[in-house]
Amino acid sequence: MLIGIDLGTTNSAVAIWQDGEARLVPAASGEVLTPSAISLDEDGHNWIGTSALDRRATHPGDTATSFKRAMGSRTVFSLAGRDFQAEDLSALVLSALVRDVESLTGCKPAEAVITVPAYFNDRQRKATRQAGELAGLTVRRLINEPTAAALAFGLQDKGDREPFLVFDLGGGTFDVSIVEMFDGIVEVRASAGDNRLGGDDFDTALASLVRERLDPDKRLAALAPARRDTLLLRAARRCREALSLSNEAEFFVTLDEETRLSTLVGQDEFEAACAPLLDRLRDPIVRALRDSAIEAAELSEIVLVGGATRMPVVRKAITRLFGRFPNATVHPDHAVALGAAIQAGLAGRDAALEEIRITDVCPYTLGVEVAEPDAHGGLQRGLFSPIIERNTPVPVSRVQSYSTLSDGQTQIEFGIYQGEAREVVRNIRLGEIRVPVPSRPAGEVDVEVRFSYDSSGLLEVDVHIPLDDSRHNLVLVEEEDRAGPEDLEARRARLAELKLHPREEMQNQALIARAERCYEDHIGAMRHAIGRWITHFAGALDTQDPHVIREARDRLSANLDGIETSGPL
Amino acid sequence: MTDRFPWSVLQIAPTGDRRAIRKAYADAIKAMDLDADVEGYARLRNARDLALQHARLEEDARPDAGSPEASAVPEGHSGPAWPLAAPRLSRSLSEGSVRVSALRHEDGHGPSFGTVFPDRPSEPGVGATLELDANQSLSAPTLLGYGEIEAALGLIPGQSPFERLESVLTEDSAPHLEEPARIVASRALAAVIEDARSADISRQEQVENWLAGLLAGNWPRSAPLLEQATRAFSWQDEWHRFDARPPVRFIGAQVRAERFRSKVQDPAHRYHRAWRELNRTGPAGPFRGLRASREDVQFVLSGIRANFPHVEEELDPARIESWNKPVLWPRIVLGLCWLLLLLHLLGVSWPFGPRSFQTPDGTRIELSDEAPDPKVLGAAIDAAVADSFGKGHDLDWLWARDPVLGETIVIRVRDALQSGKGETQVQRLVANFVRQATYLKGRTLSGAPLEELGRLRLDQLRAARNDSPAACLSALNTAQLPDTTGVSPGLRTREREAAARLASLPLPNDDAANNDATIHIPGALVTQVLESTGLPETTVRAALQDEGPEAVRCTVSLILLEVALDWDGDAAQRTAILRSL
Repeated sequence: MLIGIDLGTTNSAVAIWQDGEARLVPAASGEVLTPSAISLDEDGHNWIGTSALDRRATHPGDTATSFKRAMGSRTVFSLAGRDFQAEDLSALVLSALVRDVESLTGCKPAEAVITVPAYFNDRQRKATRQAGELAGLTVRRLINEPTAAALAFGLQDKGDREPFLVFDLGGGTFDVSIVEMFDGIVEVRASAGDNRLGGDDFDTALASLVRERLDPDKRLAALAPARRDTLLLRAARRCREALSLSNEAEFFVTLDEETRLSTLVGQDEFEAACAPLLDRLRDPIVRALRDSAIEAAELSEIVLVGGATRMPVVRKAITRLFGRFPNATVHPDHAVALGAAIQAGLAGRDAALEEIRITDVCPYTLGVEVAEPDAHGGLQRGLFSPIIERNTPVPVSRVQSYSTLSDGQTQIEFGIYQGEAREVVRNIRLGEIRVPVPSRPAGEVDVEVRFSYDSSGLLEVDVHIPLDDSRHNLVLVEEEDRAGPEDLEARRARLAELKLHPREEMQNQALIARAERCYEDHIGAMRHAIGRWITHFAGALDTQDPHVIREARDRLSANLDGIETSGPL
Repeated sequence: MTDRFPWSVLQIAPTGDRRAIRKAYADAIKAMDLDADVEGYARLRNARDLALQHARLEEDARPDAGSPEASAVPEGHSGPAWPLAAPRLSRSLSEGSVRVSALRHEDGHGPSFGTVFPDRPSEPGVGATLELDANQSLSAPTLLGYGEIEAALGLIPGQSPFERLESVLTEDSAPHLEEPARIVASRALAAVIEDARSADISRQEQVENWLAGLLAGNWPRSAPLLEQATRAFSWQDEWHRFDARPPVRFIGAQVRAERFRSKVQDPAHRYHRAWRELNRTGPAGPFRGLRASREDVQFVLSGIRANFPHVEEELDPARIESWNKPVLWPRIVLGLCWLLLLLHLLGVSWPFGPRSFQTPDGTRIELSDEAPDPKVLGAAIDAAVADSFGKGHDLDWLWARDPVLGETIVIRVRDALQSGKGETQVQRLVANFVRQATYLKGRTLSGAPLEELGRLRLDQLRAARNDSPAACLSALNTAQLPDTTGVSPGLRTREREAAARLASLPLPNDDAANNDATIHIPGALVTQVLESTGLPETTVRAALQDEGPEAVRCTVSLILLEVALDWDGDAAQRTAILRSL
């Protein structure tokens, strides 16, 4: 079975293509969104999703969130004495999603379509693919998140659509795609984005806005940094979500049994604090419009995707930028996973989708490093010569000619880069190819470099020297991949060591994590009450009587619902 | 062929019906496997785009469907010097909002960039911006007398900020924006930015394009406004892109040059000395190496050429030319030679090389293809540092105390490894270097520490003399010991201790004391030397003037050092003698 996965910064979701439609798969908790969070204890027991997020309140150092932002980097997350890279943690989330599908349909999916931000670079894409492999999935295809969202949006009524813009502001990344639909063709015209802009940044802005007045006695400053940041960011998330519903919200942090720091934040001051972030929304939009040669006025819709687009400050900025209200008809958290499932259906050649084709673009420029003689007889090195320009429809194959630079040169080296900067140092190095050339005076040996980029994002470089008709070929393989299957196997085995709670047990553990989080968030009498409930539930667990446990679980869960819906006061 | 007849690729008859073209394209796409036929896909896509373009042209050609904006933008005013299109206006222009910088254009001076205003805002919302402009001039206390300024500059009251900005920049031929005009321009710019900020994206882009053109076209008069505009439109994110709009790239070069200029004024700046040197006029003399290292100068020059070439025009070409010639070293006072050699080796290369070694303070030192792997290099450097300063010391340790020496060692080791030297050779090389540095630093001391170093030097010279008179002389002149000289483990330990002890002293770069070649040696000492050596006085005097056979010069210097160390005469005189040896 082929499944579609939205592997998000904040939340992940999985959907399947079934009976001619895309359907979201609920997790054990009953929710269709699984927070992208992992928590671990010393024994290697792990919590994934909501329970991990709950556990962050009590075990900030053993819980990781937003690790998608570190995809493709060498950042190491240390949880309960074990080290992980973002791929490993993502693999754990993916395997939780796979288990959810398994428990719904009864069969274990082996293949997946995974979504990535359109502006993810080659390294980040390879890391995502690797996460899928670590989770035991064959990744049939990576598709761009806004493209997936466009599929979900566009296929609502299967009608033709004039170019529309998908505005995808997630937890950690921002993407803009301009898409057109006609006669069953979903055509992405251009994509642009910012890999380092998302809801998390608004949380940080909010936290630094209130930091001073929330904590005049510097009590927060005295805490360990991990705990302090967790407290602040959790409070910021809570406050930001509340600000999406009302004009003013409370920002509160519960420090200990008696101390509760609190302050009110208004929509206006939040907006002012976010101004630098809101300014950054503009550039990708302008680039996508410019590249597609479409004017803002020609767009038929501005489609909002991604949880962070719920923020009124963001909607207000969009309304101002486009001079009209955006379209919020697709579910901002579900659209991408649903689109991934549609793509899975397409890849599986489902009859219901026979009439749909999707064409995408390569959102960044690919090229080689060159040197140019300058006016002073020197050599300006490290210049970028584009071969495939950004927003070229893929698959694509382009060729450029270069020549030798010095007399008697016997070798040419092409560094291969991705990016938009004139100097290669600002771009991302993907690899290099060295070719021997016949020794001739400078400029007399022509070298043709061909870049071929297929629709799954694999770049192939061919070099042809007409003079001696020699050919050289390079399929770009990342260093990480070069480590080989043994390494992958070893990492997989390491992840397998982590113990999962049995499904029944998992529910109990999740509930305890949630109750402990509530305990942390309250003071005084309420805190004592929650403490008693936890003790009671622990006692019920000790009886090992399934009936008693279920009853106690229902009661605790109802109690927690009660205090959480009635608000923190 | 397909260029003129795209419909055949789409397998339809020529048509201006866009729906039909898209349908044909869609059918063709569905029938093919894109990955298997990349060329076919490109051809198909191309044909579709061309056919759609034809269709659009056909529609536009119909008299009733002509687009209004096509005729509203005057032709030929987009500026021939820059491939910049005038903003395409989505709304029709109101009377008076199209203006041509007629003066500049007729003169043929300079590129005329933005000649078309973004149309004057007509919505009430933007009208408020203009009102705000007026309010500001009344309420802001710092701007008392602003009206007089306006009048003095001959500005028309009630101009929009766009018109105001353009008139301040263009209607005066003075190259620099003087103070009252700068205030007016800066306020008008702020209003323009505010206008863009509250507008939709197309208008923002219109304003941005217009502004970039105006500022670039009126440089250097626009210079004081560039930072403000750059911040507002995030041009710093664009100007390093290969497809940056030409005016933005131009503004980027100006702003970066300005930022470089202001930073490099700081005497603590890494390239302050090189920059000052380049700013002198006339050819540089043979002692230019004292003022700045060749590498630094080359680094600054290549940086300027790559990033803001116009800055080079402000420098004296004769100065630059002389830096490109090798230096012919005249024979100068003892000690100066290797000091220069040391300075000469200090520079680093442009830090953005393809491969580089990162020093503890983050500077990148470029590695060529022949150079060793950064890791190997790092290990070799640490080994050499440990060898020269004693176990437990590494580059980080040294860098924290003396980055100049640290950097010299990094470059020295890099070059040595590159030319295929082995580990022992590299360590010997570095050890000699550190010997030199320790000696140099030691000479800035006085009293007991100086004496202690004097004794160390005495033992080094003795070891060298045991090797050969030439070795002794080399040790005297360069403070280095040849490879053939045997150094006893005890002496080596003392050298290491001295080097580590003096590590945090800076390398003296002003060697004025040493330039003074005449040092008075008291008769008492000369007598002692004569007695110890048993040589005739003329020979000794000649040897002290660096004349005569090597062996004699070596012996005399050695004995002089020996007796000076034991002499209890005038302290200042003794210090001077010890420092000179």
